[in-house]
Amino acid sequence: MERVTPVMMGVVAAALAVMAQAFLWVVPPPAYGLCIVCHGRDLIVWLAGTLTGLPVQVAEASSAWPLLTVLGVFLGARYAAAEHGEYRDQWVEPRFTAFFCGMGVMILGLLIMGCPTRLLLRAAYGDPIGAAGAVFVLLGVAAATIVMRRRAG
Amino acid sequence: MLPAFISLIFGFIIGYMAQRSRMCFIGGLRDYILVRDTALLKGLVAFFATAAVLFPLAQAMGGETTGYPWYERASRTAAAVDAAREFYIFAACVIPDEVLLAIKRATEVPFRGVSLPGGLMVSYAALMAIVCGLGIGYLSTVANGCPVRQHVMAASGNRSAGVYLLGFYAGALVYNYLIFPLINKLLQ
Repeated sequence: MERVTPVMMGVVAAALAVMAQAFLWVVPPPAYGLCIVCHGRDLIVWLAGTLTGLPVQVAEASSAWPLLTVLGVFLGARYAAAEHGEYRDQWVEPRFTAFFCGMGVMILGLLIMGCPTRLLLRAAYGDPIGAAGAVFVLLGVAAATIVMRRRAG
Repeated sequence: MLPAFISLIFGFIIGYMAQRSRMCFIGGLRDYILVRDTALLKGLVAFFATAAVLFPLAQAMGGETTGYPWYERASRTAAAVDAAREFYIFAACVIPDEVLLAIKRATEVPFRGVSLPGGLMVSYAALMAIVCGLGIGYLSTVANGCPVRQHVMAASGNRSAGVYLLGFYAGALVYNYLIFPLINKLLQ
């Protein structure tokens, strides 16, 4: 596939997320078809529990086997990058910043039960908390962008 | 086993398309503010609109749509909302993922939240949405992308995104084994 627009990606991702819940048992909780934070937590906690004997607390949809969405996303992107000759070994951000931003996003995401993608999905499903979370994510993005632009200027 | 397999396949498709489209759920607004570029923002809107249309459609086709669907919220959760309203201001906000669990709690423990001037109270769930939403938006912008985008960048050779993912998954363990038990203890 040569040309994929963000709109195409948005439509397909939403359709898959809805289908996963409605017809393919990726539920409960509701609106769980696509969430990088929650599915990532399910996978890593399931692995940690299986390998070390620690208690495994995951969503019901992941109780038997963990959802492998994050692995699929990584493999799909890796395949696309290799197929189109876009794999480039590079450093962009400082390591410290990247590490703690990642940790912060995961912890905050688990507190609110969703990454930006799932917050939008929850909002579309009718969850006011999801809608409020999505709005405040956008406000956070706006604040960070304005701060960064001022610093750069 | 089937949900795991399905999620792997769906994830692969999403990862492939995300790499080709450069889609980022954070980058849309950032690009719009910085350079008035609406390409990624349109993707964001398309995602929301498609989900909002397909959920009721799936329900009409007999799909699994329990929880808090807006299109039949009144009939399905009227009793639940009424029960929660007894205890919670901003009651709709306490019907998150595990609706039954929330209702159970609502009938067992008094309302917990923050009092504001004028007798207004805001539930902890609503406060979480505000604080965590702002935090996720801010940190994701600083890190240069949403979690989906970070996975895609890491898969495309970006080592910074790889380090982001290390922190991301370390955060899951920190939350699950340190923060979550602490929160539970505080709420009991």
